[in-house]
Amino acid sequence: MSLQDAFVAGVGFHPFGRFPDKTLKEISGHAALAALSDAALDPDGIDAVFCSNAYAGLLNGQESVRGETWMRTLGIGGIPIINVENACAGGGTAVYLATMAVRSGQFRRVLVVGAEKMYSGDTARAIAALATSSDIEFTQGIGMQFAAVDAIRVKKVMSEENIGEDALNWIASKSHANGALNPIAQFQKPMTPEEVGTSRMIADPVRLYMCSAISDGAAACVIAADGGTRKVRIAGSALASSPVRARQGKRSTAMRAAEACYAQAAVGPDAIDFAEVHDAVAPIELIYYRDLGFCPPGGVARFVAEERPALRGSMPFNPSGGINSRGHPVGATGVAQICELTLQISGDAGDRQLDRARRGIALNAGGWMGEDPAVNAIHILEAV
Amino acid sequence: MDGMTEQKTNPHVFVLKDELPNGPGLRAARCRACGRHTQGRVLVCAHCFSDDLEALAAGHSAELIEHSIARVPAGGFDAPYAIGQIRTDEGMILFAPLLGDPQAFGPGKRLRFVQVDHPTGISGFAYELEEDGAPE
Repeated sequence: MSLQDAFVAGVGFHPFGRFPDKTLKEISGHAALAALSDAALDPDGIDAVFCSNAYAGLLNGQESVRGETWMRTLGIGGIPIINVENACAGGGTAVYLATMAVRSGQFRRVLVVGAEKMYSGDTARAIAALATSSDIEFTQGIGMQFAAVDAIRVKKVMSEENIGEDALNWIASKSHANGALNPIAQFQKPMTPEEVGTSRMIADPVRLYMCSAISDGAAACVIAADGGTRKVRIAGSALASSPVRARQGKRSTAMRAAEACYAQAAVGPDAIDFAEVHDAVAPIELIYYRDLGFCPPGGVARFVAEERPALRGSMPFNPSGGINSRGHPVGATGVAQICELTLQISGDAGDRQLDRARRGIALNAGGWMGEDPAVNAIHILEAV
Repeated sequence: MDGMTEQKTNPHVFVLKDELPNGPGLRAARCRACGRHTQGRVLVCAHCFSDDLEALAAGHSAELIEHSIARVPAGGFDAPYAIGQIRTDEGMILFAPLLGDPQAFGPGKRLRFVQVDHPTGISGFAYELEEDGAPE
């Protein structure tokens, strides 16, 4: 039960890409200031900060007090600063915690900042850092990498839903087309399905242009008890961890979080206009078409064939370009999804503005545990 | 940490011949209350929460759920190599390296646990196709 509603009152980014000359503090600070400006707040106007980052310890040497270092650059101190780590879902988790903090009445205005600096010129180092987002006792030394895990997941849904590789190429091409319209995206070049389908194989059947890149970047938002000028309400905010399947059955992490989020928002999938989902490899969208309830089991191939997830389709997925094209600075990703939902709902998404965007859903996934992503954070935002 | 774990690539995942009953194989716990297996070192049974557990090696035979061929190497592996999600005969589901022609694997193929002894003196593990590898 909430004591007050929570709204997204402001959003901001540092562009996603490769910025070898910038520090993580500069990148995160740029996004934070942009979000505060968008909410018409100065730094003294916030009550607390939630900071999401996954790998600054491994990749940048800043193992702890990351958020405090970021905020000090902006002259922010003295208030609660909470550091959030939950693998690739750290951003969504930070939004979840901030929403809870505002709804509870503890705070009126909270800043959420997600940032990551992963590019060092050494891709293997970044991949090794990503691989620690699992139970390393079970996954180290077996050749596991997330591209292969996602490839196996994609092959399973292809088999279950009778889907061919053409669908995978189309989904990646769709995301690249959307990314080309997003000024903060790492990749802003459209790509044909043929170009995707002839790019280098990374982990069968996942090809290079289906994969997200190693990225630097940041996203920030202000979550507040008043809607400000954006007037975007957080209708649902849910988090689920990987189920212990041996005892808890077949419902995936995503299905569990989605069920809780839909119940909280008191809507079903038919009331959702668009989605941002965690497409670390583009074809993983296939799983979420079904797990989020936008098509029934057995209906995924048709959903794709009718191009429903396209920007001008009946149920657009990843209008931002998704992780595949926008980029994946891990700690920022979940916050960036919330920013995209907010921009779309408030009509500020520029060339990629959807025709109908009154209510959107975001799914941010992180890590791997057992048979599922270790965590899913799902949010539903709506216009008021 | 016992002495033998220092000789293994994945000390928490598998055990050598003399480490646990039924070794070599996957490190597991069999629940004396419900009879089912849980992978790894655990404090309670994943199925029934009982703490009456017997540590042993398991996973000697398995079925391939799905696999991929990694074309970009992860640490210690030369690409291309195959990695699979498998279900052991005791019902444990895990990712494991697959040994053999990467193209020969497919869903439902029968697999067996093998200890892989590297020239460096370190032992690893993998799953390879059973004699004909055919689904049961």
